[in-house]
Amino acid sequence: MLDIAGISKSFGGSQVLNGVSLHLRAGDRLGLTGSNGSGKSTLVNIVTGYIEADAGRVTLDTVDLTNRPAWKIARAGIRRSFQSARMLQSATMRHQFRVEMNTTTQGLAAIDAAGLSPYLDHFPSEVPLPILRKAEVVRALVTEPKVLFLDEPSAGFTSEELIEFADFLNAHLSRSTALVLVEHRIDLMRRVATGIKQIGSARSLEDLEFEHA
Amino acid sequence: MSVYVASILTNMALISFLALSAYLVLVVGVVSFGQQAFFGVGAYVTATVTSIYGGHAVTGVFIGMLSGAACALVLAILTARLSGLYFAISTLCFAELCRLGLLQVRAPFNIDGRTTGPDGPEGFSNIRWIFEHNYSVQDFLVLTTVCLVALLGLLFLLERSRIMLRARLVGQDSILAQSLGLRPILYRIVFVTLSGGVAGFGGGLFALFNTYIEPNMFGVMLGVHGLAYAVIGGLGAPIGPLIGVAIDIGLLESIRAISAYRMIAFGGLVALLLILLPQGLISPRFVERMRRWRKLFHA
Repeated sequence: MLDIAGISKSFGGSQVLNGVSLHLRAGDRLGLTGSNGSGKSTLVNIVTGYIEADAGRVTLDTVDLTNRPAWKIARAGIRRSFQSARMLQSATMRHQFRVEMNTTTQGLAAIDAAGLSPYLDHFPSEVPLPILRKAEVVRALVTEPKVLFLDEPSAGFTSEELIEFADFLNAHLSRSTALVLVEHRIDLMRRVATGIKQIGSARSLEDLEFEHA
Repeated sequence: MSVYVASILTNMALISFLALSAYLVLVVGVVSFGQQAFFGVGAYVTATVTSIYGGHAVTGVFIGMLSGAACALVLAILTARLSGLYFAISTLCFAELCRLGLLQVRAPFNIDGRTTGPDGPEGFSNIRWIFEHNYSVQDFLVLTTVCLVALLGLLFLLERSRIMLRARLVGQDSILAQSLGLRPILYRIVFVTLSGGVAGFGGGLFALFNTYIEPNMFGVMLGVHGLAYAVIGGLGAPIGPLIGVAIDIGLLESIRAISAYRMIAFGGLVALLLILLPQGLISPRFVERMRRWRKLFHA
């Protein structure tokens, strides 16, 4: 489905990514890790159209999406979240989902499960972070994306919140969606991911051994 | 109602069109210093249609509106790749280009023994449609108010739609908007074009009401005022810019004692409001809060 082939990127003189390749199929749950500055976010930004790659190709179901604009990639079915929960700050939570769909239909169950129901008339700044993170996932899931990138969704979570978030993902991700979890916290990845890769010293992806929870 | 009061109210209604056009541009997250150009184009086109070609005022204003929108569309496409500051400068340049261009257009016509048509800095005189059709100042106030209320109605419908929500998202967080599949440029082009239409419509009415127009009426200060009304009024609802107009013209210009100091008072007020309420009087949050309270009352 999603094919990332030989992605390279350097900023100034420093090579951040060097021939990163990755293949994702529907239903894959991949954890992506690496030390700070290793290029995880750069990879996500390239695949989702926010940064142009120096070399390499991104294809989704034979459609070439390399260096396409972000909105086109989103429409093609690759969705993402950002490191800081991004919402339309001037609108209440109810309206966040109106951008994509009618809250009266398919989204209601997921919204309820995310614990959002009491917050529908609240502004994003008044909603607790774990619920906001789930809201981001809901916002993406209602479009039934083919690939979903979550960029450090657990930042700022307590252990309990992390377990809750993992359960939420496991319960609501459909089998047709491939998930890429960009994370530092191995405990979240162990609960959700079926495989973990890291960006190592060679600036490309390598498999990481891990024990499934 | 005295002619004096009616003409002040009409002027308030007319400048409201300009303020609403500035509002539509601000919603998508850019600032325009050039809305006066679309207002001026609407005025000149309406004057041409009614005075030279003998068209009906409705036809004139309609074509004026389309001309304003067409100019805005061209500007929006030309500036599609420019970010905030550069867009703002471009709109200013475009408006000045229009004004200076109109100063060069000398095509006076002699119609029924009267000189009309654009005549450079001498302006476009004898726009006599409302005289010829026996509209009093009070009648014209009613007409303008009806048009303004109709426009507000349309904007409220737009406000409730998903299009407006998406436009606001593009305006506030373009990065997020793109990640949701929204194409920011498209929203900017559509809303700038709409704003040109609104300004052109208001300009058309202005020409009919004023019966005389000249390029220097559509200078930078007009645009800056329209923009300031939208900024202090806030981006929460279309009523915001109208409150801005009411404060400046209704309060400051109309009260004789302070009208001489209007610019100082208004400038100071804008500065003060931007410090105290950077989102304007009717901010999006304010509107949401009102909705929440209304719900509490109904519950």
